[in-house]
Amino acid sequence: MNLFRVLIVDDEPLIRAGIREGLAGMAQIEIVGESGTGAEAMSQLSSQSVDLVLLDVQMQDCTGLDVVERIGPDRMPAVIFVTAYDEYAVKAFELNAVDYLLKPFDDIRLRRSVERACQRIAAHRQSDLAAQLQALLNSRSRKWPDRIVVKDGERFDFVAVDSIDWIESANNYVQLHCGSHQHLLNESLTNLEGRLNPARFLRIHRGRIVNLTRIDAIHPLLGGTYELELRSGTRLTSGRQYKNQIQALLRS
Amino acid sequence: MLRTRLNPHFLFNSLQNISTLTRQNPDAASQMLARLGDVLRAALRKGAPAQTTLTSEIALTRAYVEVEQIRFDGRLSALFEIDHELENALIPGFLLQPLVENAITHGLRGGQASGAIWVRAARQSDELIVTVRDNGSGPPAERLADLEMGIGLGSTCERLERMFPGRHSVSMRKLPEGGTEIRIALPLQWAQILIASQTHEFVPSAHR
Repeated sequence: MNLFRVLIVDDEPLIRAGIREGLAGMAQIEIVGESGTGAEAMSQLSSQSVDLVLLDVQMQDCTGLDVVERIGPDRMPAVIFVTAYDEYAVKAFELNAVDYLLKPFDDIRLRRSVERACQRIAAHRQSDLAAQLQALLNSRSRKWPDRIVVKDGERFDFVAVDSIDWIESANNYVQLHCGSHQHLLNESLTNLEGRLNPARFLRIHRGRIVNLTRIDAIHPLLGGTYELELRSGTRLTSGRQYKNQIQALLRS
Repeated sequence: MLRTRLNPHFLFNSLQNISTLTRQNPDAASQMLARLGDVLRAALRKGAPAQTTLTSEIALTRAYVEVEQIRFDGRLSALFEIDHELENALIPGFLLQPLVENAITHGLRGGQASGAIWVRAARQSDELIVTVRDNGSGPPAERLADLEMGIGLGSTCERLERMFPGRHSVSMRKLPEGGTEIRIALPLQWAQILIASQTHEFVPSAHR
């Protein structure tokens, strides 16, 4: 008889215990471990062979999708995602036909889902499962912040991302230029760049990022540099090494 | 309305916990159901005034914490220190619960053996000072991210700015002994119970 090695991942001990009990009656299931964090799950998945993982989507340290991404869809065993509430995740799971369980679930649903997963594993469709997981990761959209928090002594100022015209690096700080207002942020320009939506903000210089919606005109200068004229009248020169990005902008 | 007041993850994970407890420990299941019922009742209260008394806000927060204590299987301790004279002070409803939820999330973060939270309310001349502390080890970076996404502490800030423009303050600091403290200062207002209307609703009165 086929024996399926199962790993249970959830950050709540009682929920793990419930899953363990619910699967106790299934002869073909062997529970090889439990993980209370995403990090633990990753180390268990890389240190032992697992056929099926019941994976909580929202954990304290990371999400179940992060676990899939870091292990790699092709190295992941079959997955049943377990989720409390996540409209986006549920839609993504449905689209990609990966199985999922909604909390609260009972033993009947749990066993049905595990049985189905075991049948699929037995049919040796691991490559299909990997493709589904990859599709699921691809469908994950990134959320960009609507505002940046600027700490000013004891208080926090909210700066709407929309209000930023351009950003300039100043030593270890960056300065946000928002109309007549300026805010100083203790962060590197590169780090801030990573937090901004690339469809809206473009790095044009080692020390400058510009809000694309503020650009009024682009004037080519010599040597692959450009002068960007903003709506406010401010003129910014791009760096030579950012030539391709500006040209892509001109083509779009 | 329920959605704006209560994190659905909390609700559905609690239900799953109760499902397990009905087998393992029926008494705890019954206790958890009762406390969850208290939290849901508060969250579903219709036509509730924007503000409630500190007493009822603390009762709700305690019920919420009890549910979390069962969820985290004895790994969470909580201490409430509430000034008695403030029982009828007004506070925006469901102000503390998301702060405590954040504190629990961060307090139990990073595989810590146990989380601890402290909720204090005290008077400082004309202000009600509420502080929520945790013993989390992580940097407050995640909370800064929450501020930016307008969730957790971020939505609290926005709400207070609408209710008390320029008359409140929210601050966050890292404690030297580890952990984070959120401090909120609000203008002190008192509840008056309207006997005549028999509604037991609270309306704000001028400073006393």
